Amino acid sequence: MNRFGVAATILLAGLAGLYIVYVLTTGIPLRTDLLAFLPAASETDAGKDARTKLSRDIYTEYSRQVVILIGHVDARRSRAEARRYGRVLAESPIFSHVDLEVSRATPQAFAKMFRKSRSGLLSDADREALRTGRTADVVRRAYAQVFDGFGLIGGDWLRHDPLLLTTRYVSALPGLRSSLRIADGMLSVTDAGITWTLIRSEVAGDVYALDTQEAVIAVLARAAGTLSKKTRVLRAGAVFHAYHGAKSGIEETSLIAVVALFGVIFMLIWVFRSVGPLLMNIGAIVLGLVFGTAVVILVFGHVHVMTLLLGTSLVGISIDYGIHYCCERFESASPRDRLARILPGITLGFATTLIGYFCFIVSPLPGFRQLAVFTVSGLAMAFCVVVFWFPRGDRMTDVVRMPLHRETFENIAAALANPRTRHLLIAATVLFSAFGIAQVKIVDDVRKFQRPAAHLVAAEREVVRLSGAGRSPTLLLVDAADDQKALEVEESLDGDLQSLKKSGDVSDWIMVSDWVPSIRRQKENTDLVRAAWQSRDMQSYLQSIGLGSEAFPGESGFVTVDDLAAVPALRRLVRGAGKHIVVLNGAKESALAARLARHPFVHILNPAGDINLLLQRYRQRALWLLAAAVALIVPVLAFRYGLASAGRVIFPSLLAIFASIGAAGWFGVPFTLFGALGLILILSIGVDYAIFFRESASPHRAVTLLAVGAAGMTTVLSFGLLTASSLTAIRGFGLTLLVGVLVCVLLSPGLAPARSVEERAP
Amino acid sequence: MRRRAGIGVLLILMIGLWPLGPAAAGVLKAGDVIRGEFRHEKHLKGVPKPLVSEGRFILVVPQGLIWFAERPFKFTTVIAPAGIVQVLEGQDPIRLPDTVSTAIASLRDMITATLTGDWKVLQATFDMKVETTATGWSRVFTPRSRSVGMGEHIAEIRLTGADLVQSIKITKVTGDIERLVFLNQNLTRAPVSAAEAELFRLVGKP
Repeated sequence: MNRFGVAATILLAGLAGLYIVYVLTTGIPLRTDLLAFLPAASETDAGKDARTKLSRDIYTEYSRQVVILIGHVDARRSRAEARRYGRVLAESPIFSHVDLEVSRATPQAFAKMFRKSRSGLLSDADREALRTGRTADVVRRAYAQVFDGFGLIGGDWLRHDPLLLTTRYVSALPGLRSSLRIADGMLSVTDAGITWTLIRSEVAGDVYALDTQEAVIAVLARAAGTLSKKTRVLRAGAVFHAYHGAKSGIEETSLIAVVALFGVIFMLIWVFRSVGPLLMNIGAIVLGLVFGTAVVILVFGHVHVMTLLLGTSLVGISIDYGIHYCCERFESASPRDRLARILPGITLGFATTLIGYFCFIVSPLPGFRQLAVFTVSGLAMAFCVVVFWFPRGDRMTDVVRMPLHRETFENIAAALANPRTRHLLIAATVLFSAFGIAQVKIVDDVRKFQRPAAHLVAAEREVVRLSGAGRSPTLLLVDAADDQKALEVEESLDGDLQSLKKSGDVSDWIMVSDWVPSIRRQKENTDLVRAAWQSRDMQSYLQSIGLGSEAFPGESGFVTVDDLAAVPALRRLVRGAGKHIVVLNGAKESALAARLARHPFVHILNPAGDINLLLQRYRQRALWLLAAAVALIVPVLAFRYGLASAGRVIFPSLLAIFASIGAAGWFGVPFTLFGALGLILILSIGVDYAIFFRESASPHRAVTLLAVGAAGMTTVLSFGLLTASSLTAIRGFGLTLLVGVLVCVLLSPGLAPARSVEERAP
Repeated sequence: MRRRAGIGVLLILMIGLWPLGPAAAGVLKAGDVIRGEFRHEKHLKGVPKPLVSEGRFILVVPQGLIWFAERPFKFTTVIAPAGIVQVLEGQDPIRLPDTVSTAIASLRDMITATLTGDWKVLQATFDMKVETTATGWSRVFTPRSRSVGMGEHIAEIRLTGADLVQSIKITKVTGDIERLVFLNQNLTRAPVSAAEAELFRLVGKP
């Protein structure tokens, strides 16, 4: 069994190592998007499924867009430089397309589309005039257009649409506010003496994958290398935020890992005064991390930066087993005895941790699953290394002297076990928790999780100010039975949007029905024109343009959503039969929500809001999973210790959990999903500590205290460093763990009294 | 739409090419004002008789151009660097939006350029042939490319003039013909009337 264990551990560790080397050579499939850490939409509540998924899809589409402005004091140079820059982007496969020149196909597609209709497309002004019998107004407008000195109405168009209704309809179409102008076929804007030329592009891959981000940044750097020194570049796009987040995440992870490792090394050398235990423990940690990463990549196909960041906590936990083994050097002379002494404790500890994480592995939350798989597989490897390798690699066959006087540890253990101290500690913890929890702020707002870099936000604002491009619009979903119904809903929505515009609660919008009215509306319009056709004004107009007195020629055809196929920018707004997107800019959401209450088929798509709801759900479920983990661990403990003792073993962890939440309140750190995740770790760690004390006979408690103290210190070192993270949520996670582990270390000796010698006898 | 390109050409010709007359010494100066009358004929394919409109105009450098059509129907069109506004009797002024077709916006930029004497804008698209006649000059513009910008719509532009531009004839690729004749033109530096200034104000600042 022992040999098999050693061989299996070596084999697994070797395979994991080779796999990681292979992964490193092909590029780490690292994900950085917080969304990737959260559940897929289809796994959330069924009722909002489609909308959430759509919201995500659109969010993804927007996230792929990169807007670039090339600025130069000389307008021609600005365009020439932009062409050069754009060509580099266009040649790279990392951009799926690059819009440099204004497409000539779109106006032609529009002309063809609108040509289908003769009287079905009416501007609001014409429609209102015809509805109220002011035919003369419509006729005068047509006259002005035909006879003005500037319009070159073609004969073919005039014969098709003598009242030029469609022309005026097109002129009245609402567009997006933009100060961009076409020059040499390119869009540009001049501001403060600098002409900025616009390049729109779309990233081909997933902007939250690190390799995509690096490729984009590299191509942009190459493109920037072609520009003259006096040329300025402004960029906007989610990819820049994602890259910045990933980079700082990786830097932080590396730094925290390195500092934690040095802290741990220093402590181990101090405790054991020997390099052997240090090397053994580092081996256990490294193999644990390598194995955890390999399993996660194998199972999920990628590893999330958040898993790595939170997974550094593994360093703290996996070393516990090794420390406990090595501390037995202060007690036992033979490696076999050392293992025998600690095996029940670390096995039970490992089992309870497994049970704790089992809830997460079976939960429908992929982010939790990944974190749990990482931790469990990493811990399992560390556990196997300690159990199978440590006794073989341990060359020390004497009892070693403890770093301080043994009495010191015995006195501390006795003091902590003293009923008065214990009651005092419990009372202090309860008070600390109660006051802290009363002040704790729960935050599920994703925007407060990843603080955007100020320089990126500033560049983005400038791009929006100059070009109107790169804005983050509010999106509405019109969800109706079919396209015609959706168009009718949009037409009923138009009035409300107009009022919102008047009150300054929305600046502009794009809506499919503005370009393609419903067939019902087109028929109504045709009826209005037919009714006005025989009027005196209309007939005299027709005479004057030489088209004579004719009967109403009838509608020539209807424009439908299918006609948008040639206009991708608008086609994109149709997301399936009856599902249309309305793009609003400058919308104030509270005013909008109030107006939309009366439109049952219109929903605000709010990716950030949806994510916040997901985070909230995650946080709540994490707390339920915590309760489930407690419910599963207690019977295991009760099986070994009896129900009353099981309660005492788990009690320090429960108190530590409340104290951690309280700490968030005391230090003004918001309690987030990540804080809730930290509580699960506290449960695992706390139960481990209590088990170690429970399994340790009275004369042995000094060594146990040293082992738990050292283990706790490594954990505190790792998590304490997380409180230095720039990410608010991770900072909260670090604080939760810091306080939780301290409480566990202090309360476990008193609350988990050693089993008596009789109890320990087999 | 196709119509927009036509607007552009005519405007540029009317504003930009006036100063081509020798007496105008090449470029109009700020404060120069031309007043005159016009007759506009449209010969459209498939439309039985030519369409005719008559009225007067005023060109003010650098504010822009006001076009007062009087027969057969009254309306006013104001073109300025900030945009184009049409005023019909009894109706609210209509601003021709530049959001639908950015061609309008680029056109406005071209007008602004030509108003300040930047002829390169027009010559970027057209080749120019100049002839001297007994009474003045004629200039023929032909597009450099039939597939780019206005060259897609305009086959030829023919101007005649002496001190100032006297007529413009535009032949479109579809065969439609526009003819503009300018009469009784007067170059002064007299300030515009309050009503005319108000019309420019309608367009606003760029």
